[in-house]
Amino acid sequence: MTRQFVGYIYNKGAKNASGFLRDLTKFLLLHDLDRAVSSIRVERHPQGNLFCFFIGLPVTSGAGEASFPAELEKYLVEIVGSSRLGVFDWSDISRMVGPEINPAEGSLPLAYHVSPPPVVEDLGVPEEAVERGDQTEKYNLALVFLSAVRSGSWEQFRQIVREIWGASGPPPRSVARRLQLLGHIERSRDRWSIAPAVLVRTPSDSEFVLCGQRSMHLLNVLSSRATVRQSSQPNGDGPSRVVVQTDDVTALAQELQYRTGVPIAISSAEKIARLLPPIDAWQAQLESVKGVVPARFSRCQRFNVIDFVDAPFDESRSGFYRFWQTHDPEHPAFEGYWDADRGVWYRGDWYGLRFLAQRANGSPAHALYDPASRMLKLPELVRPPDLYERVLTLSGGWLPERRQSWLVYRDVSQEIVQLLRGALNLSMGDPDV
Amino acid sequence: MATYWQWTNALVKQVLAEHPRGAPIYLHVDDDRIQEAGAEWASPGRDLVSDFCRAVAQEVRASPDGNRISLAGLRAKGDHDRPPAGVGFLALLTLTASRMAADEQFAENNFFSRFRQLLGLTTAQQGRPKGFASGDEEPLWQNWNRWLAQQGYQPTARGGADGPTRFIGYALSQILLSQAHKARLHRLFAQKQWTDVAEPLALFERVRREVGRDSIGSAYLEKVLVEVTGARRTELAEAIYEVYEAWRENPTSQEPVGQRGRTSQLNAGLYRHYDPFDDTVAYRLYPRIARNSSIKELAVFWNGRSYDLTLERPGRLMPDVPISVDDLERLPLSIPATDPSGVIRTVVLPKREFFLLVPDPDFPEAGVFATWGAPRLGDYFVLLCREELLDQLEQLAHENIVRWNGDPVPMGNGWVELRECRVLRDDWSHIYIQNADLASQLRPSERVSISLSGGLHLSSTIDWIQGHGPYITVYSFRSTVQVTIKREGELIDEFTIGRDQPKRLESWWSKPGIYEIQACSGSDQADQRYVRIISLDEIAISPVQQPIGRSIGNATIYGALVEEVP
Repeated sequence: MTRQFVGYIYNKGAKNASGFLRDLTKFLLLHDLDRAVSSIRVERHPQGNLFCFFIGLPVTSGAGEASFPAELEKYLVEIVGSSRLGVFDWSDISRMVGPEINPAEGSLPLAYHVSPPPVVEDLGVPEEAVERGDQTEKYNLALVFLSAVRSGSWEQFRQIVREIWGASGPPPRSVARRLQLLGHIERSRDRWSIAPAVLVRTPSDSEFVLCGQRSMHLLNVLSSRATVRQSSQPNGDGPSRVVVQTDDVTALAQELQYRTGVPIAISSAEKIARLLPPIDAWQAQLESVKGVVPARFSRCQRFNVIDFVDAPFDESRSGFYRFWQTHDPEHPAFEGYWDADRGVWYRGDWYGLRFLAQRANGSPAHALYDPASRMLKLPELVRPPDLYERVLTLSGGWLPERRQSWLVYRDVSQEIVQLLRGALNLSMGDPDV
Repeated sequence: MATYWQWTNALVKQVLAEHPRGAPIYLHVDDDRIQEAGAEWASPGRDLVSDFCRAVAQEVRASPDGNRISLAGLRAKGDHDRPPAGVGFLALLTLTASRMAADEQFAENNFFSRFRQLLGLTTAQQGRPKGFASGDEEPLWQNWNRWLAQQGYQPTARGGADGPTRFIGYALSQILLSQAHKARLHRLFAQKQWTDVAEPLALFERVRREVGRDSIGSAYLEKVLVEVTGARRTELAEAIYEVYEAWRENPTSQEPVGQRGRTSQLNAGLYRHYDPFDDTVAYRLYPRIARNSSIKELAVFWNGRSYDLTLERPGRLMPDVPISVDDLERLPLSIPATDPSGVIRTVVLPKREFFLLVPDPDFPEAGVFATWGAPRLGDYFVLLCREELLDQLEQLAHENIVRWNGDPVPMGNGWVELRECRVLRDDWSHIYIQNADLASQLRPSERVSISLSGGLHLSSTIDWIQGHGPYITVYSFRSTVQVTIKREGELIDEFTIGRDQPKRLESWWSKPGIYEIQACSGSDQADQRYVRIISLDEIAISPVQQPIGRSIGNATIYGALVEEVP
């Protein structure tokens, strides 16, 4: 391969040689012409804005004259302001030109984008109540994938939900809450982790619900060793409920562990329910927040039996408050429960704070239970704090179903109802489920 | 004498040992590696290297003092239980490369005269023996690469540039440092007495700055140091660091000694924890261990507390130990520690004027930053540095070489954070900044880089879930980049894409298998990545470590599990 040089004189532009070369290199890179041009040479000691330069072109043997890219010709003559001198061989110009400039070694700067601020989703935002059709397969995929990844940041969880459901899917906090209620994951302020695999005893004889970590392999092994039933959660808004029927759960758990390498525990919702403290003690365990100055906020709302309503902050009145700053009317700057007796702000599970507010408002926490069908009904407005609600969902492996203004929990044992009744100060009504 | 297949299996086991799925694998076979792999056959007076060479010679039917070999028996591609048949022979090629002298030109003639010696062929003739034509080894290397990817590892063997060394380039690509180069580096460390280098890439840059000063003593190694880019640069930096650690452990020895990955001191970097709720940043100690280290846990004693650290990922322990800005004032920190074998005595956070906190290579979009290495081309990263460096950084910003978002954020005690930093240009030739370590670590080594993000990715592996493969983003200093995607050798897609533009098509990742992605831009060196797409059925789970729990009284609840402390 030889080279030919097309010579030009730069005589109408305003740049010096180095400014001209910078522009030319950028043009070649932007138009992917850097490989069509093998080199650029400028005359030695160029003076001001009048100088000669030569574009080197590769010529394949026997191909005659090199082809000159038309857009480059246009750029040099019409835009830059040069005049063509002619075509030269290396021997013609070697004594008059400076060092070779290889356009392929130039570089275009990368763009700089400022990323949007991180999305802050507090633990306490309520679930959305949008019905999206059967989401079981998506939840199953999410659960199997989270089981393999095991733990990560909250941002990672958000990305996983967005990947599975797409941009118009459910809010990640909603997905997380549902998985938490079923004992599949746990969450801290900014992280999540999968929960250990557990066979949870249900009120039905010899039946257990699989909670926590799962894989297709685990489900296959389980199916080959016991009778397994899979069913959808109410409205398909959660992963499949996997129920295992066995007379010897200890032997089954041991065999599963042997075959999958993952420990499988045995537990029951009653075991958790017995640990739950009375609601006052639960409140005392919540994270207290210092430095909240209501006067600094531009708007205040207070939860008033059904919803938040605009109201001035009243230091003497306990309640669930929400504050806004002027610059962001869309998102509350702070939400928390004010305990007027203790003079303390608390932060935590949204439903838990609302439960405290309802109690402070004197709203009755009235539940209905039918021991025969083992169904428990709670008014939606007194949905209990998450750990108390988890006991209700783990009891039978069912998420609650919305029926008008009630939440209906299935397969709840009588012992759990008794324990929660005491802990949450529930008043029990006639069984009309 | 062990058979060819016994040697092949032993070497493959040795090469893969301690490497997690997804790790880049080098068929780095030198005398040490053969001794390690054949340890069970060792006996007094027995030369294992000769044993290995004889086993290969028998397999390829090399006649004593002859000039012919046969590769006919080496074509089998391997399966789940067995590596490809040619791996033992390829190991001999890399052993040949490792035996090259420090400054020997890697020309075919030099290479094959050593190859002939090892195989017991006549040295009266030069070049390749009969039956081993130029390029005959390429399908064997391709089998090895494909087999590694099928097992979930990142293959690394690549041919050289077109020309006489194209095919021996595969063997050279597997040898990070020859024996002779290790000896040269050992002498360099002894001469320079560097005792405070904490990170492989920082050491690499320090060694690279010796190029042209007659202190390295190998023109070939100098050339490698200057030209190496991307993932291979990281691997080479790790290999140099291993020599460095061995020297630091035995500073008086004349030659490299010591067992791989066995030192009494671990170095640590920083892990940056951001709490979006309080908008606060905290730092944690992030101890690093050699990739092939047997350390799985470590007890660290800091500020009157004991921390039990387990493995966070290959090469790193859990970032649990809090480090305050006050602590950064007192660098270097030498923190007492111990591992079950009693070898480790301290973890050191060395004296530094800056920390480059780059995005998690396993999950770049997670918003987590730590000292995982130098920023790759296109990365947005956090620079934690002393205020005194700001003048030099402002100079880079003024030249539009580096940019960050907003003003430097004071972290206390003279430390500042520059957030969302990005290197924008490669035109550093006319830039001089005083802190050479900062300049060399900021400057990306590659001109084209592939970034894989999004999808459902299993951390520390090359595995994504079927139908949820990654977005491909290519960074380059040119406007467009050519990308090809192949699945098991079959072309899936070929396109030209603008840089910095994530792209994903549903059709790409619809079938399980091994995908090879290659990006090249003009004459710039290509970048290559592998992706393994697996079905839901193939996802394996392992026990949960340190799960989040909810404490109630003496009990902790993990999902549905209750653990009570008696």
